[in-house]
Amino acid sequence: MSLTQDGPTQGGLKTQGGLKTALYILIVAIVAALATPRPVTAAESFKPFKKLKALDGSQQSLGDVLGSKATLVVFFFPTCPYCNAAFPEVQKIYERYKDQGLAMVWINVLPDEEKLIASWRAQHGYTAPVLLGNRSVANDYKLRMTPTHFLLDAKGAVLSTHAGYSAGDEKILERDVHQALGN
Amino acid sequence: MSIRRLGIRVRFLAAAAAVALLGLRPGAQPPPAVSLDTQGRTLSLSTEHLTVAATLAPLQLPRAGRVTLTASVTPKAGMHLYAPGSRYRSVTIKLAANSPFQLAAPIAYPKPVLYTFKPLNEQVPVYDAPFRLMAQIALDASRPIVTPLRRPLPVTLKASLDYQACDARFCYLPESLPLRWTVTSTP
Repeated sequence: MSLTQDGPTQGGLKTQGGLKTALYILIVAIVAALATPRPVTAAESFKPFKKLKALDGSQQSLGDVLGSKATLVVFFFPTCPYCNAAFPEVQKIYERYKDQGLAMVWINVLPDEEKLIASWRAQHGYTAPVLLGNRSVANDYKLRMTPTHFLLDAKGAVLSTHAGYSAGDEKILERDVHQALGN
Repeated sequence: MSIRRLGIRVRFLAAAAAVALLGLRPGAQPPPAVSLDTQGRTLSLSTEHLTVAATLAPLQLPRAGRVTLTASVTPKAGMHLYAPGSRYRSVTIKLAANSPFQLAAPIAYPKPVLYTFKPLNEQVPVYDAPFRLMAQIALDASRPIVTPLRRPLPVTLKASLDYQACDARFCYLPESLPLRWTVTSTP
């Protein structure tokens, strides 16, 4: 009697356990999907990119662009709407902190827009250095949107990341830069 | 009780591992889901920004005839795609480079709506609701592939739906969704 009762009961428990596991998978998947999009967590290191062409024709690697205290790497393309909203503020941050050990590099991810970059920089008065990347660079960093910012320490480790732009984000970025510079 | 809690933790860790393996972490870009109807006319694709049903008709193409590529696009909730007339990358249908086909007429676009892009305080023409693009396509007579036509010849038509999608906070990387059909070119 007890054996015949235990059999189906244990089977039922296993089924319930399976359902619970499936439910947990679903919950974790939903939470992950709804999380604010971030390319990587701050705990991850920034994968050094292969040498990329600069506007002056030189080839530069991550090591060539790292600042003495911090580096802001920004992925963009010239006709990206939120880049055009964010970059006047990002340029101000560059001007404000470049003499305090902050380096900055903007990496274009759409080769078909390279021809626009020179006039776009001149039109807006941007002076932050630009490197010419491509879609595979975007894929390397799992980019889904632009602009995406990576703030790195002097050794290239990621201090913070930020994607997209809305008014006021520049204050968060400047606060992070300020901290990275040890101010 | 502790064993039960341990069981829950084990299941949670298993779930987290499964999610990580499935690539659902933020930043991972899922590939578009693609399906083709049984008649080979309608391609259905879905990305995180939109769904599109792209139809080519007819699939038999007389030498001097035309086929019509119709892309019915539905932006997902909160998404908008830039329309022609904006200074951003607008949605369009492109034929593959070196294609034996050419556009026989300009692509037909529906009327867009004006979207206020608040960060720059500008009005931009966009599509934020279902819309349809139509392209009239013909064989490019200057291509050698269409000249020796004495019997029906299968020809691959490769095109793409190119777009950039944005929502109220992000603009996603521009996408190019591949579209492909086999057309029988007839004398």
